[in-house]
Amino acid sequence: MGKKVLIVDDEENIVISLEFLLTSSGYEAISARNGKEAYELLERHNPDLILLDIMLPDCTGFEICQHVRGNPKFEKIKIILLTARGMEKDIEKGIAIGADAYVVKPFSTKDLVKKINELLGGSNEIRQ
Amino acid sequence: MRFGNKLPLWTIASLFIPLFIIFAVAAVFWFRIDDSEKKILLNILLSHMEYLLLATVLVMAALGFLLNWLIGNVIVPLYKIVEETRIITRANPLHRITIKGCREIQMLKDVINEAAKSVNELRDDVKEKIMTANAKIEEEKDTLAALISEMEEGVLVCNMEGQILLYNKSARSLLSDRPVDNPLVSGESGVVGLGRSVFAAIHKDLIVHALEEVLRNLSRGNKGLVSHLVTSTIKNELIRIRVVPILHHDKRILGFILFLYNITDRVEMATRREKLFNTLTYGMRSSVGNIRAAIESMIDFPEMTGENESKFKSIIHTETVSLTDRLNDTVKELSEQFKVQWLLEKMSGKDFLDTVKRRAKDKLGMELKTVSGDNPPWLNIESYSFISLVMFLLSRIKKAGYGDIVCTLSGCGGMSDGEFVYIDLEYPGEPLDLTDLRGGLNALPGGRNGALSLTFDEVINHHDAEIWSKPVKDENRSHVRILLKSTEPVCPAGLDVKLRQDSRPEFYDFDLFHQAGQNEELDNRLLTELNFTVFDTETTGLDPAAGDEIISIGAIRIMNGRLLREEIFEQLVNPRQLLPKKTIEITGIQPEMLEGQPEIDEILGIFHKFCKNTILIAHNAAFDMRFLQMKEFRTGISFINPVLDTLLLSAVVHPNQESHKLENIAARLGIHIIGRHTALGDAIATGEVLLKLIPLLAEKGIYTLRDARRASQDSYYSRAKF
Repeated sequence: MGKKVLIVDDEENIVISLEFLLTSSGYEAISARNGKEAYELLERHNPDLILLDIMLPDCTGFEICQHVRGNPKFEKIKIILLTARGMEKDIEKGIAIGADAYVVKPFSTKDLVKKINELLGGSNEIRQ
Repeated sequence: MRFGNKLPLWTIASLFIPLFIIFAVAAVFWFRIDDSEKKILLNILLSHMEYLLLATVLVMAALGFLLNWLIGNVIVPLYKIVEETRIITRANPLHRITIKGCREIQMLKDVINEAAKSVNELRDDVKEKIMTANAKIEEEKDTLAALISEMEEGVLVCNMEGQILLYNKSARSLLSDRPVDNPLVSGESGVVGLGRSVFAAIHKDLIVHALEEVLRNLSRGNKGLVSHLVTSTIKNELIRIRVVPILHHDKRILGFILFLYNITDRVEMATRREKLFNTLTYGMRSSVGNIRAAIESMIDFPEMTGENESKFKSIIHTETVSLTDRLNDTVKELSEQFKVQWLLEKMSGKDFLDTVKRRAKDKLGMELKTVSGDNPPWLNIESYSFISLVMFLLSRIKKAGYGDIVCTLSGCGGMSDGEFVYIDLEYPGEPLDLTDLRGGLNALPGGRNGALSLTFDEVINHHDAEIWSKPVKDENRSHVRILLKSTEPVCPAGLDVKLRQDSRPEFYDFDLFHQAGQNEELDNRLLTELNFTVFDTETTGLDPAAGDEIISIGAIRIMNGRLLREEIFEQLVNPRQLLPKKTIEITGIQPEMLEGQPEIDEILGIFHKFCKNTILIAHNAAFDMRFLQMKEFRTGISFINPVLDTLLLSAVVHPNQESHKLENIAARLGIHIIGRHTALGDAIATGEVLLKLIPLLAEKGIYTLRDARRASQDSYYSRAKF
């Protein structure tokens, strides 16, 4: 089994695509639709990486990011903020509170997998 | 008139009148005696002629001696006493008469000096009372000056002739024909200045049109007495002008105020947004149309060949990439525009915490504990709305039944530590539910009318902040955390210096509202009403015909009897020749100071513009004018302004004083010269001398420019050639 990636996003369509993309690339994908679910899955699975949307119904991705970074239990988790908010100020903010990378929607799937591979030290490629 | 000019007349009169009387008496005596007596008398006289001649010579010598003593010890000192008394009463109250003469003259001198001292003491007493009264007025004036000088809008106050009576730095900057701090030319020769015509900067027709509109509304009794117009400046910037009339109580227009707003950026931004909108909508319609056509083809024709399917997939991919690029470009462009939307101010973290603490106590009756490091970061906030938001959060925590709140300001500790800060409101209790505030449309409490007119989300978004409420780890405590970008500290000293020295507007007494028009014959105008440019030059030597050149020009303007210290022209000039040692010693101008400076041909045009519509004043003006006139043929720049010379005017006022050098006149009139032998220093001193001379000229019946020019011509010194 590959490394575990937690997808936190409330948009059903992107979650479907990301799950397909990650499993096709050899990762185990789990997904949450809001902050509450995200905290539960985080505790239960302690994933290797989180693909984290900023705009969630009950909280912001910044809040979850800051929660992860403030807890030594999760110190090895890599975080990629994944959002449609592409303003420079948002990117600065995400990096400031400890995100490892920031990817703006729409994105290139190849680039996203490349970024995940870099962060997790793997060499998984999209299966053609 | 100098007494020296009357000396021959006095001598003749004093010597020959007594002789004439003696001869007249002798003649009468001669005609009354008979011939025998005449014969005897003639014999006696002829035989003792030597005694007669000796007696005549002795009488003449005694008379000459007496006359010389009388002139030297009585008459000349009396003339000087008259002049010096006028200096005391009209120009320099501290001046005291020091004069040689007979005992009676000394007594008169002492009495006048004592009287001057008493009057001076009385005057000082009155002056002190006036100063106290004026201090209050000055304070109010300073407040108004600071207000106007710091206004972002340009402000120009003009009389009906279009003369500028007041302006601020923004107006000068907006309407200048070159950058305000041009390193090449340091003189303020821009188009905006006190006494200059506003029509040089803004076309007269525009102002007239605006004022006509105001008059029309006034005649109809309408309330809208403000007119707007838009025009472009010399620098091709677009400005909106609000024209506000200054009305007399009888509804006459005395002048007008122009408020200038630079709308170049706003118009450019609107244009950019329109372009952005068009690019986005047209581009998106095109790409989305292509994608839709491809997808619908694939859905409608599932049996299509593999080759066609690949083509459609390629179309969809290409168009989505194109859409992505377009979106990214749009967001980047918009990010730039949003940056300038809100005016945030820098506030020190300490001030922020202190204010929050004070307000919490005043408004909520809450003893708030505040925590920050030794060197709290600075915040970039709109302080009123942001602090209102913090107060609102504190009130929510209090309402939830929690106390003992600690407000902490700290760096966020991430990779960009120092760029972002956390503002935490920590308390013992459960996390606050903030979901009902998100997207809420309710205005935050606060403000004078009980509402700030901004929602919770708007304040957060305007500050690019993030906010959440969470339990604090391993403790039964929670916090509301605000993530906010920090900023560089402000140096307060720099701001203060700028406010005091650089941007204070030049105030004027507004008497120009009643000044005659510019087209009146200058010669008939009173000296007190004229605008002057007082100037001085420093040169390589004394002979322009032999190739000596100007190395420095300094000038200052005078309007309505005031030296305008913001209206100066000061420029070093490269003479393209070696500086004589003596010139360096006198002027203090070193050769290296002139390297890279403009040449005189370049400067004359700018100086000519600075002097426009004014009377030129210089001390020993013939010398300075000669240097300017020598360049006339080559540059085509001709200084045709009327010229007055303070040296000649001083000789008109004080014909019996021996010296009319600038420093001697200044000392006589109680003027302290700063920067003697610098062009600007001498120009300022000359200006001060002129202002002191004008009332003394009036004493002698010299009121107008024509009077002054004629008196100068008649003056003894006007015959001197330079």
